[in-house]
Amino acid sequence: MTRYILRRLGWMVVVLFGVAVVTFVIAFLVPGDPARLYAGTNASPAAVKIIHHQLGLDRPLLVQFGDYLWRVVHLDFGYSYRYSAPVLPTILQRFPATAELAVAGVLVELAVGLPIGILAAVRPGSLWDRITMVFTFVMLAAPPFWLGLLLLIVFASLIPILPPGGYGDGLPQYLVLPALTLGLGGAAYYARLLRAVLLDILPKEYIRTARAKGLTGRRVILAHALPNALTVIVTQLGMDLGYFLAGVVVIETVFAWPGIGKQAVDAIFNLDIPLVMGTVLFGALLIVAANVIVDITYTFLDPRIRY
Amino acid sequence: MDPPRRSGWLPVWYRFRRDRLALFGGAFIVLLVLVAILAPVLPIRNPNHGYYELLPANGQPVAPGAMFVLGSDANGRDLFSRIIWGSRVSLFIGFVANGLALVVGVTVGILAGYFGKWVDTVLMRFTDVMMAFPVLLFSIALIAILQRSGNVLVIAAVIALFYWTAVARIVRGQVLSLREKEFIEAARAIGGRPIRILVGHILPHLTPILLVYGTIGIATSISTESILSYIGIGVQAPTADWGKMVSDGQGDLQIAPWLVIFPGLMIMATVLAFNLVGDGLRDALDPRQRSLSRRAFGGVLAGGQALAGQLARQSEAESV
Amino acid sequence: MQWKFARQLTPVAAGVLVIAACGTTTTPTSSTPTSGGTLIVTYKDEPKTLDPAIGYDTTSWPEERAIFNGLLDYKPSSTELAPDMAEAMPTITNGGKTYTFKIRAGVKFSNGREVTADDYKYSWERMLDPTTQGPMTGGPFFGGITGAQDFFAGTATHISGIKVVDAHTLEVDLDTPNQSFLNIVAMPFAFVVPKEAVAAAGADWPHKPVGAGQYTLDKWTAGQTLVLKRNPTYFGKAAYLNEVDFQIGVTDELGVIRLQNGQADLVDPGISLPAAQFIQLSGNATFKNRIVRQPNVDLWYLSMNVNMPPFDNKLVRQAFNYVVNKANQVKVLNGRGIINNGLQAPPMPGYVPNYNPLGLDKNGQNIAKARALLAQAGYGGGHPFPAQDMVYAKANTDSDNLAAAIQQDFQQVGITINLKGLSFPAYLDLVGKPNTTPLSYNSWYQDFPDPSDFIDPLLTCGAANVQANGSNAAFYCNKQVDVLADQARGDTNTAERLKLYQQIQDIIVTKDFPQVPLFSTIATGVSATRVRGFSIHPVWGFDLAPIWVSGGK
Repeated sequence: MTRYILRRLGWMVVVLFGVAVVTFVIAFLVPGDPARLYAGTNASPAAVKIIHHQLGLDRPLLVQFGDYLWRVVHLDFGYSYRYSAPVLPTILQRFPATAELAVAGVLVELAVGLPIGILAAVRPGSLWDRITMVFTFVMLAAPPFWLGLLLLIVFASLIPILPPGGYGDGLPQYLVLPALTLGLGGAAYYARLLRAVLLDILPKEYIRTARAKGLTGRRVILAHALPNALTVIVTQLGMDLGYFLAGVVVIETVFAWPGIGKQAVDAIFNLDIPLVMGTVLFGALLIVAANVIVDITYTFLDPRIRY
Repeated sequence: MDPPRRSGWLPVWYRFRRDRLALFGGAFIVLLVLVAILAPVLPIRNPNHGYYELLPANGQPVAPGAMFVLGSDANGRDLFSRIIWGSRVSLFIGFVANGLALVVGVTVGILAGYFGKWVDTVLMRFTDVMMAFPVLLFSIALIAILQRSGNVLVIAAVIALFYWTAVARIVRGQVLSLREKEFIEAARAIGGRPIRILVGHILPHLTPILLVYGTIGIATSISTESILSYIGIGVQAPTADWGKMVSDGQGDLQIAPWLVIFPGLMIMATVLAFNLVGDGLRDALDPRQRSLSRRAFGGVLAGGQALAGQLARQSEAESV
Repeated sequence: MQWKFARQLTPVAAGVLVIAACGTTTTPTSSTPTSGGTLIVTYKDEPKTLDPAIGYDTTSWPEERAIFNGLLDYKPSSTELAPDMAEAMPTITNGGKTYTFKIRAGVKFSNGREVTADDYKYSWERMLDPTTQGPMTGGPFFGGITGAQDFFAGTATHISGIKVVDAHTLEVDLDTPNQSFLNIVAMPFAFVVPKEAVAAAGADWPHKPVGAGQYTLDKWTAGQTLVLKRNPTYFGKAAYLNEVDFQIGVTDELGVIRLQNGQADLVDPGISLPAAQFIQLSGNATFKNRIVRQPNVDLWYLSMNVNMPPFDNKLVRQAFNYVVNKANQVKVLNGRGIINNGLQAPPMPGYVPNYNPLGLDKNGQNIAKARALLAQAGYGGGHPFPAQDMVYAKANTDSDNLAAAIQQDFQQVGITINLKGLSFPAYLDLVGKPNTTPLSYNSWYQDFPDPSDFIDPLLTCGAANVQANGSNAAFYCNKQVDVLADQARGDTNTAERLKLYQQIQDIIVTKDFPQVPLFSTIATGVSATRVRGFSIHPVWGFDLAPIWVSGGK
């Protein structure tokens, strides 16, 4: 067990190193001199040269990469041109908003997705099952930005009961539409996933025994099949949270939600490369961490797995 | 999922055609492809011509009606024509991006699965690295940094850059199990060269699964493209593109909601159609199991398939 | 203003002649201003900085102007300069080369220390110091101060032309006379900052400003809010408002809804209303009379690089001047623009109304003439005009729409234009380098309301003779224009000076054709019903000082 955990952590380091290499290379593909962006569009060539040197851009590439890695390990992700501030604090300042949205999104996924999945699994092939499955297909196909805009048309414009985007100092009504948009696609996925896992488990021997003992379909599902299906759900949930935390770019853009995804997109259009690459690195860290945590949790949830 | 024998495709079709949803999706795709190819000769307005003279002085877009069936945009362009022409971009990027991803993914997956050992380790670690990125954010950054926004081939390549990892993992899983099968071992025993075994014996066995994931991959590519265009780094104006049309129209949401509603509907319908066909194909190719996700967590190929489910979820989760 | 991204399509300026040309003024004449209350302003974008040496955009300047101030400022709703921290307008001697400013006694920074001439010397040198990494480094506007070039080159540690005569007297020497130097002194870059506060805050200075202005910074939470409080030690008339609350990251769509619900007072007042909100509010009984309109001091134009084919042929450049339907451009902007056939913007001194020396029709076209000129240039028949890329900055949807309309116009004369919309930094990179971009769609907003700002940085040989970062996208250079521009810059006789600028305009527009002038924009803004005194300032756009709220406590 300990060896397994250590191996996963080692894997995490290797992958993050790879991510750092890629982001470094990409940052070097930027056309033009970063020093010029740093200096501002009106800077004189002399000023650019001074800044070029200050940024250490005249050193050999490998030295710069070593320096970059050293700084990344010490949590120094560089300096943002757009915000005139260090990158990591700039990201962390926006991160709570993203985290809030991510958690709310995951809650919507569960609250909507699980009941639908269970009800569909109780009577597979029934009308209800077929309707919900078509519905989930449609939800999975709807582009998230469009779904968000439709919700805005309905709930902020036609029946103006919810605010049309923005953060609103954390007031809950501002969270409703973004969380719904974020969660509905996922809810459809969870509904399908749960239904599938339940149908897979139901014919199993012990369920048959439970039925033989006279338990109703619903009780069988709730008491016996569901706990087993939950391992799969929890795994998926952990991964989802990782991806969501890494930046819910589209939803934040649609609803002007002040998280790290929206910030990174703004940074891209200002060619604020340090902030963009810092966010990518930060996101990768969260995704990889979520992966490892899920793997380790899985070993506890499912005692059959031994390493 | 063994490949059907030559005569075996017929039962697949019989089974597929019983799936009314999949048939419906297939019909929609055929119609869409026809419309996309024929767009230049269809009796519709030029999608890029602005009828400024038909706009009021304050430039408000014209509502759907007699003048424009689906309304006009802020440049007085015919939304209906633009939606028709938009299908060309979506389908082109969908097919090209997915084709690229399949080629790279199949190659990497086969090599890793067949040769194993360090080849497998290196390729799979690299795949791990690619999968650790917040895909959408990184794609946007890449296109912006390369300053190639507007170039459809670059957009397709960037979409493929991340989607191939999913294909590679599925293929690797398949190859791993195939490698142990008797007929492969037999081929190896009689001294068949790896390239012959790979192309002659393993690749044909991958056809069904590639067909299924290829179809779903087109849906994923189209939906990713629409997101890139929505964010503002997709195709160059004035090219008609569904994602960009939604993006351009969202500012006018309160005065001209049709600019958002119709192009978005097309994205949804197209993605849905490809997904339905993919799901239908899966069921038809493997009659023992019926539902998409059910197969993913049961049956003989549990490992690889579960992964595929997760990957599909990843691209879904990250496109928000 | 150096093709300022934030100011693309944003209101900045208007002239005294046309103030409130269309809207009703929002200040009822019967009421007198009262003190108190909190003004809530929504902002789409985060202010970049509060460091006056760095900030160069519409979201930073209004807050900088609230917290800091300088020697001179524009009068409310006017392009006329007036003393601010200076006792009076400076005395100008030595043939227009020496400016002597008397600083008011007893003016205090919000940290309690008195402002002296030393502070100005420190602030200006800091602003120009390459290590500050501000946009004025290297010489735009302030490069003409004696000794500045040595300072930039690192051969001098101070700028010899900025002299502290005594605690309240500052003397500035210029290399050559410059009639717009007073406008330059009024720019936020020249605001005064206390040395000890800058040193104490270190890298955090852009977030911990200390100035001598009407307000002080109360708190700034990135991405959420920025709150200003009335400065009790301000030397002049105290601010009407107790507090100004900027809500950051609020889209204009949301802002307008909050405004209608009484939850916001102003919506991005530095940026023109978005199309949909403008159209919507224009039809709203309560708010249609609360929309204010002000012509901007700006010009939108196509630049043709005179050194690159096919635009090295003057006939081609002339032909292009007859093609664009400028009325359609204005329509795309919801009618919020004025067709412009010259080089100067409507509210500026020297603007000639209805200037039309080429005899264009009401849409700004003459297609027959364009065809004839193209034929004369050898195009047509077996020799089609080569397809051209048109480079432009993608500020918002309007940018694409305006460019698409241009593309369609050129189809009429058989010319294919391919659009190339870029992010703002990438766009600047391309149009600022010589021999790189044949055709570009540009806009220019004033740095200050003086004709020189529309000639010197845009159409002189000095501006063309650069390796990068240029703003003369046509790379146009005519010695005759340069001579006239030099003469006009130092001319102390205003009427004569404006004549010189008209002469320059005639040469460029009717003889050399480096650009196709298109239009100037009209800024629109709206305020909540309780807001009084809101208008768009001709120079600053958003000006807090005259604003008060009725019923404020």
